[in-house]
Amino acid sequence: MSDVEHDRTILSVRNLVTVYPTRLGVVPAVDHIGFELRAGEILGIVGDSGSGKTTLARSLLGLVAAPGRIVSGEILLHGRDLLEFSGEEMRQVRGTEIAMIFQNPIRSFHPGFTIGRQLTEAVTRHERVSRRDARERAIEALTWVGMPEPAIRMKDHPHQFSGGMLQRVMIAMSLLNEPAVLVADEPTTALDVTIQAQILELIQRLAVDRGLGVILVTHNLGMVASICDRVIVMYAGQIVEEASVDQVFANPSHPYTVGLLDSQPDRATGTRLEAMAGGSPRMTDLPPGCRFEPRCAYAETECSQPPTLWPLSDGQTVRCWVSRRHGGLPDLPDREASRAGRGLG
Amino acid sequence: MKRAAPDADSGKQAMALLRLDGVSVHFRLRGRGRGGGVVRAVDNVDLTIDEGEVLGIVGESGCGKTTLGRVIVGLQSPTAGNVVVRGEKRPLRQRPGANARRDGFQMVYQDAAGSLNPWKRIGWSIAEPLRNEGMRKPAMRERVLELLDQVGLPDSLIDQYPGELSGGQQQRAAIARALAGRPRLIVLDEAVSSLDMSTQAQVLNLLKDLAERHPVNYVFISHDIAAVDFMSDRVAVMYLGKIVELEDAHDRKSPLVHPYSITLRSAVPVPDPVVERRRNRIVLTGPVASATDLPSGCRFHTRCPIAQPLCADAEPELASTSETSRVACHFAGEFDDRYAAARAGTTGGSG
Amino acid sequence: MILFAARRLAEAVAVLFVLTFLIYVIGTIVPGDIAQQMAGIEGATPERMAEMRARLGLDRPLMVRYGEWLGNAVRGDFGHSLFTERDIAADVRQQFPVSLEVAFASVLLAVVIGIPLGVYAAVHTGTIVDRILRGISLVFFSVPTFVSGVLFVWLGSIILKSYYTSFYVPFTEDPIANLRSIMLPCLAIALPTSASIIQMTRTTMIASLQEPFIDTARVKGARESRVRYIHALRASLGPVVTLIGLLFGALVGGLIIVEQIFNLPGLGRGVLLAIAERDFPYVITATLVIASVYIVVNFIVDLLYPILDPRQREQT
Repeated sequence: MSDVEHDRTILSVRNLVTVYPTRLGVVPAVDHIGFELRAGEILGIVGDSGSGKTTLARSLLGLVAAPGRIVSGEILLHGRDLLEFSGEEMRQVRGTEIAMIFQNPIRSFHPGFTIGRQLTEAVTRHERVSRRDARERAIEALTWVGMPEPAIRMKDHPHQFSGGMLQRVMIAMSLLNEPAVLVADEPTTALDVTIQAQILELIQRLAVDRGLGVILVTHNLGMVASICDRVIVMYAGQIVEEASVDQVFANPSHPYTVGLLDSQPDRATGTRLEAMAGGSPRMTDLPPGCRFEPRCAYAETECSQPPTLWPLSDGQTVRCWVSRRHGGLPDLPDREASRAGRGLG
Repeated sequence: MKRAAPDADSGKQAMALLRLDGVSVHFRLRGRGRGGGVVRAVDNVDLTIDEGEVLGIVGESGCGKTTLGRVIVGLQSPTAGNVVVRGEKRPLRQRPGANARRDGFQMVYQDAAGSLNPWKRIGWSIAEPLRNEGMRKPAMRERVLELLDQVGLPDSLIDQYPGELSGGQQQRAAIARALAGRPRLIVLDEAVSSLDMSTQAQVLNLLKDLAERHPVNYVFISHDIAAVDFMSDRVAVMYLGKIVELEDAHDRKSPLVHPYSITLRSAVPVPDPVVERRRNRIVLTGPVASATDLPSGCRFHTRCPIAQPLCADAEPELASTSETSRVACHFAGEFDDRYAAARAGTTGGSG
Repeated sequence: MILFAARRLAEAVAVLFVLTFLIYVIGTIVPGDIAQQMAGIEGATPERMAEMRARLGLDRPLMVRYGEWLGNAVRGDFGHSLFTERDIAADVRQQFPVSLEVAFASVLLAVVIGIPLGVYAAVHTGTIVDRILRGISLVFFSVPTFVSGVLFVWLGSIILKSYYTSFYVPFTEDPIANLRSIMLPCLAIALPTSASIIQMTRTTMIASLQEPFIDTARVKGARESRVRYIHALRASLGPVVTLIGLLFGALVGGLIIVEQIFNLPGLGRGVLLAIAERDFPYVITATLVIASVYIVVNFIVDLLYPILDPRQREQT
């Protein structure tokens, strides 16, 4: 596994649209999303709940819950468009080429089956192998993630493990068929911080050692700063900013990104946080122009028109008229203006 | 917000809003082959909360922080020890909530939606403490509108149902209800943890604003160390039912001393890639101990990176390190050296 | 596990003990005098009644009589029927297998019908089929057994004439004929029973399908059929198995009626007759047998529980 080819694009998503029909109309939960993922790269997807980040993650595996559906776009894995695949072909992709881990490791395992059975199932769904071989591969995968006494623990049931250990087992399971892409949806949210640190370290090591492309869906900017290489910021179904992790934290160029950073208690300079006013718009009742405009302290007249993603510099793109005109966000002449709106639920 | 008096521990205990003297909460587990175990959710805790002070409590799941919060607010009676409220010993009451009402203490939970009656309008839920006081209807509506205004919610919400509100609005409504009876103290148990970052920031600001305008104390309980630091004057770090360190949140120059607090802080990723890249994370290796089967001596010694043989034998006292800070560790202040030494492998020290 | 089984056995014995005692007491306080009945209304002179009481042992105190009965029962002697004057143990030994067979076959049938339909309804919630199934199970559930029973008799004698055997043939004599003879009675019991199994399976399946581990199975690349029938169904079986255990209790009522309607020589028909004739020793024996079966079935359910859900193992 040492001579992995890094920096090769393994997954590219283009103009992906996933919609959910609701009583009040069809909602574009994922609205023309595009990005590329390279081998060994950890791409963070951040945003509020309802921003579409989880729907995007599920779309990649063809697991959009009905009645939601993908209506257009391309998901190119090694150049092949997954959206052209049949159900059976897509099933083969899941687990072998794209793997996924979830938020709650305890509830993500079947309570009635042993860990060993659940691990080997991941192998036997895709290959005709003997139970013995499947078992050996499962044990090997458990050693990759640092499980002590893997052969013995194979016989245990999920409730006999701690949450942190189960998340390790989950990662081991996702690695069994050596996928190219790992989608991790809030993988440490349900875990204690000391355990969280261990899991993050494990994911980072796997990306580096195995050239695994990781999509990390999270609301935690600390995690992003800690292990991500690039970041996509989502707001109301759209990408509002994409940049390297250093650019995003040093030079955020979308007002929403700025707002997110200002919301972090760790970055507070005074006794108050520079909180964004208001909340996310209802997806059934989106503003006609920029979707962030009603909450935006930088808003100008042109913001009533929908902005497009605009390349700023060196891989940083932003969906903001103001940033586009000024080549980045200008200093706000009157930050009090943004404060005035603070406190409106 | 007013700072705690520096000599809070010494002669002025009568001034304290609340004092816990050797408070323990032990739950007995039924069944379980070995004749039933005892969960020591909170174990012999001494703690003082001064008027005007915000006390933060951090710790991982199962450390007893929620149980301690429930003892403070009066929803849980200690199985041992005393709770002293404004110099007066709190009576042991059987009826849940009786002590909380007597002392004018309130609690706000993580699950705001769950604490508001889904079948009743927001106004009704907020007015609940007022009805218990026997307030008359017109005055009550007036007061509810005032409370909505204080928590930054529009008047129109008074006739809406919880399901029609966003998560942030629900949490604001829960806070409005807690404020209704003009409480002396509100225990906020993970009160902002389930909110989106931007909403969380708004609610944190709101809490700070309210504390400036009203004589209310907070006990801010969370697993989110950044939020606790931001809110608190003093921070109690809990591990397996014990406070292992009490630190002055404003005095960041004096470094943390307990190995667990140091580890906990080093584990939390901060939203700054430059800091993250430089940082050496301390990763705990030992098995996680449980509150039913406590380790001997210092209860952190099984996971502690600098544990010594002494740690397995003797339990360290919570001793003062400065006027406002206290720590329970035999080797307080020696972490950096000992950790470096342990890493270099020059000492074989592990209890 | 052995400790658990031993404890449950002790509990079962205690329950049976209390049960027999209660029936004994109830049997003596119900209105109607067995002695009078047996002596005949006209011949019921006080002397004759006293003689009859003495012969039946009714002149002795209740506790003494119960103690005697219990002592005999433990040895397998349940006395003689007051009505037919035959050996009760021998009668029950003949009737019991018939009822047991019909009961188990009915539940089996109900499970075979109920679980797949329940799973189907859960997977296709809100569709036409789901709604039709819900309607049908409501109808099955609300039609009393004596109506459905009569309906099936009619069905058997008119439409399925060539398949249905209208008198009971023991399985050991002719398995095919046996199945023919119990086919319709079993259906009459199984349909209302399956209705509740459908609903329970549907409800628990819907909950299971929402669980994160279902997504895990899909992400592994498991086929949808496997996700449903292996992962989701397995996680849903706990409440369904509990329900099946409880249904055995409810079955007794249906069995009494069905045996009567279909002319099956089982325990149910015997009980009905015995109650009508105040054949007290028979009633108490039959009750004991029925209660034992119920206890055994629920004991099996309790044993299945930790197998289905390993989390239960530590708690037992």
